[in-house]
Amino acid sequence: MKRILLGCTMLLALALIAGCASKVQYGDAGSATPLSVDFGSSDLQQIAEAMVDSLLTFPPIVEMTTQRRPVIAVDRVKNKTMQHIDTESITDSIRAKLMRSGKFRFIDRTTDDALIEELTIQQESGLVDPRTAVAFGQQIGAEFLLTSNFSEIRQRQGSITDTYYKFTMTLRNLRTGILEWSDEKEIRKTFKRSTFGR
Amino acid sequence: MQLLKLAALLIVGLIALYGCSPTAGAEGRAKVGWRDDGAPMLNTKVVYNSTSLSRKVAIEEMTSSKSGDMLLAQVTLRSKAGETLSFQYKFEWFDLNGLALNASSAIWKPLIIYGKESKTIQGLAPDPRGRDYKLLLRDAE
Repeated sequence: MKRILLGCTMLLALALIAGCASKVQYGDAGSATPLSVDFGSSDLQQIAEAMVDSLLTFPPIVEMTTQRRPVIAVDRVKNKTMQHIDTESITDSIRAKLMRSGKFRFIDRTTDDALIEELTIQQESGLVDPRTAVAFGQQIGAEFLLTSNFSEIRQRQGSITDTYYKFTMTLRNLRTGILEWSDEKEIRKTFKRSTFGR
Repeated sequence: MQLLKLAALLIVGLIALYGCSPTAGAEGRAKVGWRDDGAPMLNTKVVYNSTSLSRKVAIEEMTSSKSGDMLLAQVTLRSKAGETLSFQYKFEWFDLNGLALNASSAIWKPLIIYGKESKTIQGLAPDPRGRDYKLLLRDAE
């Protein structure tokens, strides 16, 4: 009787100690387990994949990209959520996936300053062989502009918080102004505060 | 005495449960071949690693179709349970020689299936090399 009691106490103590030890470990970057209703890594990945899949399977786009690889410029996401989100990270993921598909090419205006600096050195410093120096005004203009909107609706009722995210993306033809493709991804996350604890 | 024994067993059981982590409970693999007349031919294989998952859900159909030169996979799942179930799934893609295309970048996506409902999920190959896909399905944590 006493021995069993002692055994139980020891097991309980062990369980407590094991539960208290702090540790750091690597996690799965592709995990879809939400921690809160705030925008998380899985939401970003789901949005990127949904947008890319939709764009690459849209019949007119499929037809257009069979013969050539159109050039796209990516616009900044209009973040209408109440959260501070690095929206460039979403468009970066989308751009990376689209490039990996081999269907599109992109221009990137965010690195233009470094590019102009490099071209100026090539042209004016006298260090570069003029036969190999890249001249200004030879870049290819983008044919399409990829624009996006990100919005959030949050509702609270008692112990339940419900958050709805909507990411809308549009591909616009720069010459004609026509919207060639558009799609949206919706995500709903619900948090229910338990009666006990937080 | 009896109660104490039960308590000890319960504690051990709880500790054992605490250490469990989710693995893919079901795996479906589909390989696309081409018949002489050009029609696609699909060989599928479904493996259930978890009996609790195979009791809850069945992989009914695995098909694929071409969107341009990219392969689009479609899998139909049917819930055997009466209640709403939450799963996670991901598609892994392989080329003609069986080399993985997105082994490190494939992401788990949430999936909710209502009682007795059948649900269709789709996945697009990351690039035109994708010929063979694997669907992994697991319980949401």
